[in-house]
Formats: sequence, structure tokens, C-alpha cells
Amino acid sequence: MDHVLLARYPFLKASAEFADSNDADIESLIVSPSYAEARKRGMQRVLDAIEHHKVSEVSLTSDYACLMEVLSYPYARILVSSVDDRFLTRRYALAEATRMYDLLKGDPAQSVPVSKELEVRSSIDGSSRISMPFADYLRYSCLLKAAEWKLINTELKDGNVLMERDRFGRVLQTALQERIESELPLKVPDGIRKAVRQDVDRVTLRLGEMKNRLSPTGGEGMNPEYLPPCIRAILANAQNGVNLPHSARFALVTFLHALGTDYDGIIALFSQSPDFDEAKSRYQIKHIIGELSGTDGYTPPECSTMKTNGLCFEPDGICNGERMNHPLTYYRRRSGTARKAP
Amino acid sequence: MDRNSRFLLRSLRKYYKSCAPPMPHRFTRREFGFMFFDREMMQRHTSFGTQDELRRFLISQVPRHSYYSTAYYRRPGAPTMDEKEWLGAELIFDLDADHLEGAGDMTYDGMMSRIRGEMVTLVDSFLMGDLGFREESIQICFSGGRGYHAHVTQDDVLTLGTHERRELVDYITCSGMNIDWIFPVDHRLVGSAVVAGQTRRNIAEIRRIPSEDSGGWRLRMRRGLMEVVEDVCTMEPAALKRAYPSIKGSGNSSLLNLQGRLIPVRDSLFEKDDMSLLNKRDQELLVKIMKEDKSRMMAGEVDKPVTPDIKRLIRLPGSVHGKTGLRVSTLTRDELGDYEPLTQAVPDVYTDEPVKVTMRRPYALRMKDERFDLAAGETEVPEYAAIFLIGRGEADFGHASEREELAR
Repeated sequence: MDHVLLARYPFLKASAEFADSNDADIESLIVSPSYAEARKRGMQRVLDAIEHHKVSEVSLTSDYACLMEVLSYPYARILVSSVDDRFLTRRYALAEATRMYDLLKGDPAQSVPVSKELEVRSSIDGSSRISMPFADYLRYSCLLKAAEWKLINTELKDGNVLMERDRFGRVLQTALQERIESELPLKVPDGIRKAVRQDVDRVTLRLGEMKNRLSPTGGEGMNPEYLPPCIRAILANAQNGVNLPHSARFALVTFLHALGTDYDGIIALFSQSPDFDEAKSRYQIKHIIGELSGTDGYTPPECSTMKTNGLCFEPDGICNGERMNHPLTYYRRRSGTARKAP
Repeated sequence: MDRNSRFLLRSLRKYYKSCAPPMPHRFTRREFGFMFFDREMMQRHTSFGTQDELRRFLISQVPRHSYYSTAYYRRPGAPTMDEKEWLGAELIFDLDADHLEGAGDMTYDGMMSRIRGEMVTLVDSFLMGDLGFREESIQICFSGGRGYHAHVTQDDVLTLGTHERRELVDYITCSGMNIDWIFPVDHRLVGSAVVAGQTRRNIAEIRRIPSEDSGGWRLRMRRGLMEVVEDVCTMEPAALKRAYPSIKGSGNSSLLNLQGRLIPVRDSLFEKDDMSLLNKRDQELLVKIMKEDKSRMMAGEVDKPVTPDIKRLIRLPGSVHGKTGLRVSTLTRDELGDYEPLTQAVPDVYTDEPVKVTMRRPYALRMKDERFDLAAGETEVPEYAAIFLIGRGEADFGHASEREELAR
């Protein structure tokens, strides 16, 4: 296979074989001066993911450049694995997948080998559209929320979904993202962890900055003064041992979780409830905050849902203000950390 | 236990002694659940290692209702869902008389033939049609009560999650359809003129019609549109408005005018695969009928919460439904076509021996090719009919007068 292709799609098995055939093992990738370029580019991949949602392009004019590009991929994975932070892993997976999607747009012929690698069953039908079994389609389309991805809005024929190549590219993007998320973190041996520590520290620092920028609390702990009246009321009830309906517990747990309160912090609040049953609460809370499924958990309900559930207590001036539709928005506004999404 | 329950229990035990239910596919991975005549609580988290174990259980316990999990578990007998460890689940479609409007006023027979028709559409048009399942991977089941189930066991659907299955429900019931994807609007330059030194372009908006080789709801809507066009061209305005309520606000004369414009171009619509021969208002009227009326008429029926539930218990085929005495029966697609539950799902072991019953109210019934027109009060019916009537709460076992005498 063309070396440029291997460099562009470094997750292919053939790319790993290309690295092997150049005697590039992990050991030398980590330490050898001849692979400094690969390490630098690997670092770039991760920082691009944090800051731009997408791994940037490089020019691949020589075999050497191709080899460095191929090797930068495993190096980036080692860094991400060493940081071992789910936010980073997801952002990195998305960035690699987005890059692949962009590349496929200009290079549609590659979608066939790529789909094979990702174990997405597909074939090209008579009219040069892509055809894939609906069960496979659903696994990825369900992660894409827009209505155009609903099965009813696809051409489904004899169990196969027919689609244009560009849409298939999005399916593959989702598949690669899923694949990378499921593969990472890799187990990184202590020796390697030590050797890459400097780079890991740099990534961790940048990651922390980005998280602070995105967090409703601006990176500081939760400040009870900024809580919206609904959450404040539910919290007060919980602390006074009032038995809460399920919808109230759900709202409180998801809200606190969104502000960065961890499991221990949340359970401490509930332990004062009269029917407190730690085993049961543990399961419920861990389920809601996604610890059981290894996901981000549920997002807190918006104002309209809170109203429907009878949980909107004593709305104040901010609640009644313009464009206020979510308790988290209230918190952001109160704490003055609201800023335009990056 | 009252006399009715004792009678039903005796009948069900007789059935279970006569035959063992076929075991579900990979039955050692399934959870079983039961409800009994003499206990309120459902017994769950039961598993069976052999068919004989299950049979002995059924004969000794005689459950009123028997269920098994559509899911496969690593440890089906474990007491919590976490410990069970979900491995996959059959894809289930359930059709029940509950959703029928006016089901209360229908006879059991009438109700069941309506549901059967819906099941045929579901299987032919959606399961074997668009979704492409092969007949051998679909198990059709009469539920023993008021409905039918379809169980799909094709390998690649077993691991579909709740969201994915909900998408299938939306597909079948036509929920979330984007009408502008079905009939996309093209903007076509139909002329231009230079006015005061500036070129003014005349752009027409034209709805495309999906072609004959398209798939999914596009193709279904193309065929639906053909029927709608046929109706608009041939029906009286009043009848048309009854058939398509979304246009009931239109005046009769404007519908007649539409008819006049549509008749000369109707065939060209489907040759050109677009509506360019119609004006914008006519196009939008047709699209409105398609969106608001026709698509619903072409949608399939399924019980919406059942399909996405990947941890559900469902009636065990080969068991008996305790409220009808009818066997939960698996059918082929051919058998479904003219299936008569009140004849074919009656276990052979139920006899024709007369049984004294007291009817709570008048009831008409056709069962095993016999007609029963029963008045309220004491009567005798064959055993099989007695089981059905007592199970459904239409009759009580024995003659009330004899019991009163006995009491005196």
C-alpha cells in the first residue's frame, strides 16, 4: 500500500505493519532521537484534539515523513492513555475521527478499505451508493442525534440502508470514534510512563485549562450561592432529611455532577435522607452519573422539564430573565463565568 | 382458591401432563417468570437446565401465566439484573387489541381478525419487506390472549440496544419522518428577464417524487401518492374529505378544480418523478395529504414500549394463557393468514364433555366451529368453552342454584 495512505490512515493494520517493517518498536519510539519528529507530531495530535477538535494536516512529501506520521499515532495513544481522562479520550477519539472524515471526502475510494478495517459491513450498490445492513447502521446512527439520521429517513431496502458516500463517511467517522474510545486507555508499562512524563504533564496542563474554560464553575468548586432556587430547595430538603421524589433526586444528582461534584460528594448529601439505603443509592447515583456504563451520565433536566415535574420552586428574577431555560445557565450567569462556547 | 380457579388449575394441569412446551432457543440462558392461581406475587429469576425440569415444574406448580425473557443472560437465575449479565435479546414486536379503538364493543373474534390483519402487514411489509428478515428468522406467535408477537432471532439484531430498537418502532409506525426528504424541493430556473438593467431570475419550487427504484418510506410514499392521485381524480369532494381529513377545510369547488388540473397530468407525474406540471398550491396540497393522512394509513402498528425493552418477559410459547385457556402458539407466516385462535389454539386435551356454568352476562362465541349464543344464567357448555368463559370472567363454574341449595 502507498505510504502516504498509511500515514493518512494510521489506524490501519497495514500502517502498523509498515512501522514494524522499519524496525520501529515502542522502545525506540519512546527514546530514540531518530523518532523525535514522531513524538513531536504525536504530541501535536493530542494538543490539536484538546484545542481544535481535529488533528491538523501535515505534508507527506517523503517516506521519512510518512513513517513519522504513522508513528506519531501510537505515540499519541500512549500519551492519551497515560493521562487516562475520559474527557480527553473522547475528545481525542473525535479529533482523529473528524480528521479521517475530512480525508475521506477528498479520497472516497479509501472508504472501502477503511470500512473493512473498522468492521463496518458495507458494499457498493449498482448506482455507486453504499449499502449496509440496517443493524450496523443503527449502531452508529443512534449516536448521531439529528433527524436526518433516523432510520425512517433513509432508504431501507431488503434489510440494507442505501446512502451517498459522504453520509457513509460520517458513519465511518462515528465507527472510528467508537473504536478509539473503546481501545483507550491502553495499559502503559511503568517504564514507558516514566519516559513520557514530560509530555504527559504538558498535556495534563493544557487539558486542565480547557476543562476550566468549559466548566460552569470556571474550574472552581461549586459555590452554593450561585445555585438556582429549584436546586437550592431540593438540596435543602435532602439535607433536612425530607424524602425526595425520584425526579427531584435525579435533578439534584445530575446537576451536582455537571458542576463537577463526584460520587462521594453526592452520596454525602443523600446520607441524611430518611430512607437512605447506601447500596441502593450507590447504584442509582453511579447509574445517573454514568460510572456504571463508563459514559458521561445523564445531563440535568432543563427548566421546562423541571416545571413539568413540579420542581420549579420560587423562580427569581434571573429565572424569569431572557433566554433562561436551564438551571445550569442560571449557575453560569450567577457565577459570571458564562461565556460564549469556544 | 375459589371454584373457578380450581377448575382452571385442573384443566391446565391436564394440558401440561399431555405435552411439554418446546424450549426457547438457548433456554439455559433465559430467565423464566410465573404467576399462579393462589399467589399475588410473580415468581421471577427462575432458570431451567433441561426441558424435563420445566415440564415437572409446570405439572406440579401449574402457573396461571408463564413467561420467559426475550434476553439471554450469563446467569439468568441471578436475583438482580446486574448479576444476570445481559448478553443479547430477541427483537420483539407485539400487537395487542389494547390499542384498537372501540375494542370494548368488538367480539373476541372480530378483534382478533383485525389484529391478525395488522400482523400480516407488519410481517410482510416491514419485517420481511424493508427490514429484509428471512422467514425462518421470524417466529410468529399467537399470545393466547388478545394479540400476536413476532420474535426475530437474526444474529445481528440480538445485540441491538434500546435506542436502536426504538428506531425500528419509529420506522414501522412512521414517526419522525421528514417529508422534505421524501419529496425534496428543487429550485429551478424557469426564466429570467432584464428589468431596469438588472437580471431578475424566475425560480420555481418543484417537489420531486421518489423514483421507482428508491427504498424505504420513499418508495412507500411514491406508491401512496399514486393512490392519493387516483382518489383525487376519481372521488367526489365530500368523499375525498372523509377519506383525507387534512383537507376538510378545502372548498368543494377548489377540489374539483384540482381534479381538473390533475387528471391530464397524472401519469406524467410518475414518469417525470416530479410535480413540475402542478402549481405550487396543488403540490403542497398533495404533500399535505401525504404527510398528515396517507403516511399514517400506511404505517404499521406495534405496541411501542415492548420492542425497545431489552429485558422483558414474554409469554412462553407452548404454555397456556390462564385467562383464556388457549395455547400460546407459534405459527408460520402461511398459518397466520387464516389463523383462528378459537379453533386452532384450543388444546386437544380439552374435551367436549358438558360442564355446568353460570353465565354472568349474555355472551356470543364461535369456538371450534360451534356457535354459542349464551344467555345470562345457568347452562352447560363443552369443557373447552367452559375454560375460555370462566378464564375470561364471563361465567362461573357450576350452577349457582345447586350451590345455594347445598349451602341451605
